[in-house]
Parts: sequence; structure tokens; C-alpha cells
Amino acid sequence: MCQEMLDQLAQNTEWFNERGVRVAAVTMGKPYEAKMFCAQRSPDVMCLSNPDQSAYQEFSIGKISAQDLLNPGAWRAWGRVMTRGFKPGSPGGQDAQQLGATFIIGTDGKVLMAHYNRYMGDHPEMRKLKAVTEELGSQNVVRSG
Amino acid sequence: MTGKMKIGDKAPGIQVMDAEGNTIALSSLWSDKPVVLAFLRHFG
Repeated sequence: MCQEMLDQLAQNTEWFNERGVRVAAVTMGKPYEAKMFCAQRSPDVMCLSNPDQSAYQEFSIGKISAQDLLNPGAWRAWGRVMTRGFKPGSPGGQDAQQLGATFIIGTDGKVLMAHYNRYMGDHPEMRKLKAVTEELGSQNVVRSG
Repeated sequence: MTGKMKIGDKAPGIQVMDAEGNTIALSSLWSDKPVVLAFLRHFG
């Protein structure tokens, strides 16, 4: 399920870079796994490895609950990614319950946008990330995710 | 785990590894330019 988000980032990395914004992705894979995965799908995105999920915890990124599995949005997202040709992959020893999140962080280290995925398949709309980026010139951007 | 990060909160500069296995502080990602930082679910 993270394929869709990573692919969208990969398709838009140049757009962000042209506006002076770096694009990076944290994965739960070991470094060589992250290297292989990102080289295959998103060679221009800086891929990082965090197998112990300590960064996920520091950013307070939650996990899927049983209740989340009943969320219609989760099933709609599942159907959406399946129709786009994505295939569910094996976690390969990674935490299948770990959710994702996306942030935009300014040079002062402050969060400018935060989107916590509500269920598997959820991620922020690219237009929202771009809207925040386009306002970054002032460095006084505040937008909720 | 504390509460979810909100607009204006200071992002944790915790250390992770790059794709070569070198330790890297997340804070180094935004020290010179803003960053879109995505935390992905498992590969697949």
C-alpha cells in the first residue's frame, strides 16, 4: 500500500526540488531493502531506513486497529489501489499494522503540514502538499493536513 | 508515544539510517531546505 504514495512522490519529486524542497521517505526496511525498493520505484526520492520504528514512534504515527478494518474508507482505498494495478505485498517481517504519515517540515524544524494516515491506503492529496510548498516562500506557512 | 504532531510543533531530529546503512539525523534533512517527509507502511 505504500507503493501508491511512493509512486506519487517519485512522479512529483522534480516539482518539489525545483521549488527548493527535498523529498524523503522513511521505511521500516533494512538499509539494503530500502535501497532496492526505492531504486526500483523512486530513484530520485531519498530513502531512509528505520527498522526499529523509533522514528515512527517519535512522530507518534499509530497502528491499524481492528476498528480501522471496518472503516469504509479503508476498503475504498484498497479497491482504488487494486484497480490501479498495485498488488498487495508481503510485509516481509515488517510491521503490517504500522500506518504511515506525511509531513512538511521547515528549515526551523517546525511542522508546516501533518497528515496522519487514518487507515491503510490513506495518504495526503498531492495537491495539498503542493499548495503548502507553493506558500513556502514566506516560510510562515501553516496548513493542517 | 506522545500526541500527534501539530502545525508549529518541533519535529524530532531522531536518527535513522540512509540506504547505505549510515546513521543520519532526520534534522539534517531540513537544516538547509524544507522537506516533504513521508513515513511509509511496509514494502508492498
